[in-house]
Amino acid sequence: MTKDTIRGSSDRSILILTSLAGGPKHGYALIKDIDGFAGVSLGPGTLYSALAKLEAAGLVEALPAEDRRRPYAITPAGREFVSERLTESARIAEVGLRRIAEAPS
Amino acid sequence: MNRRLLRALPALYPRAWRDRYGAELAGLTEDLISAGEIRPLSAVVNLAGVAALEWGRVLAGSRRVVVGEVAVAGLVAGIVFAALHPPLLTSTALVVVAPPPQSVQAATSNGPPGGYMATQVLIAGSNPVLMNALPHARPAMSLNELRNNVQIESLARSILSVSATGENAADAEATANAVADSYIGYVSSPDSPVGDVQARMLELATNATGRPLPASLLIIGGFGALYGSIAGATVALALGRADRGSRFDPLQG
Repeated sequence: MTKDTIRGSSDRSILILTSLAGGPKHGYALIKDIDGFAGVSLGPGTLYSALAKLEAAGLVEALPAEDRRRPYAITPAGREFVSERLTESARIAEVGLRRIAEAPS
Repeated sequence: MNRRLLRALPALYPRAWRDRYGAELAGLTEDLISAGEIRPLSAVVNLAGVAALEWGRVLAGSRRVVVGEVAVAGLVAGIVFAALHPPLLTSTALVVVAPPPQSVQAATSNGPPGGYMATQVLIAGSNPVLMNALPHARPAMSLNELRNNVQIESLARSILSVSATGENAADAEATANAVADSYIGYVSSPDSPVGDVQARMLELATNATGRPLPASLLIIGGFGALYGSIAGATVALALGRADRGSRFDPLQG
C-alpha cells in the first residue's frame, strides 16, 4: 500500500465537514481548501456526490446561490458529527504515535 | 474542452441528482478546467465514474424493491394457481364381499393368496361396472375420467374400498357411491358373467378428506412467495455484482 492509496482512502465526508467548519464555502473553494490542508484533490463529481449525501443526512445545508456558485454551510448536527469523529481520530493517532515512539527501534 | 460536451456530462447522472446538482457541477467543472486545476480528460473520467456510482446507489435501493416485488408476485401467482387448481377431496365407500362358495375356493386353491379379492378389484374397475356408474358420477365425466378418478382396493379378505376424488365433498361421495352401487348391482345380477358373488354395501361414502381450499391457498401462496423471494434475491445478486464491478475509489478523482 502506497502513501497515495492511504491518502485516497481518507473519508471525504470528514474532509468536507472539516473544511466547512471554518465557514461556508462553494465547490471551488472547498476543493482548494481541502487540497491545502489535506493534500487531497477531489474531483468535481466526487465533491458533489459527497455533498449530496451530507445534505441528505442533514450535516450540511445549501445557502442561497451567489452569482452562479452556491455556498454550503455545516449544520449543528454536522459540527457535532465531525467533532466526534475527529476526537476519535485524534485519540487513535495519539495512541499510535505514543506506541511508535515507545517501540524499540 | 468542448463546453457543450462538458455541460452534457451531468446528463449521465440519475434525474433527481441531476436536477438538484447538475448545474452546480457543470459550473464547478468549467471553473476548475479554466483555472488549470484539473485536466479536461480527468474531469470527464471523474464525472462519468461518479455518475456510474450514483446509478449504482439507485440500483442498490431498487434491489430491495426487486426482492419484495418478486416475492409479492410469487405470492399472488401461488394463490391464483391454488384457486385455479383447487385441492381434490377423497371419499370412500366400503363394500363387503362374501367369501366364495366352496366350489370356487377349491378351484382357486392353487392360485395366489387373495386371488379372489384381486378378481373383485378388477371387476369393480371394469368397463361394464364403470359404464353403469357413469350416469350417477358427479360432475358429468367421460369413462376415462371416471376411471382416473376412482381407486379400488382390497382392504381385507372380504372388504373392497372404492375411493373417488372430486373438487368438493358431494362430488367425491356421489362418485364413490355410484361405483360401489354399480359393482354390487353387477355381481349380484342373475345374468352376471362373473358367477355367484355376494356383495353388500358396508359403508356409504358420506364424508370426504383432503386439504381445505383456504389452507391450500395459504400453503401454495406461501411457496409462491418463497420461490419469488429466491428469484428476487437472485436478480438482486446479479445487479449487485454488476454494481460492484462498476465501482471505483471516488477519492482518487
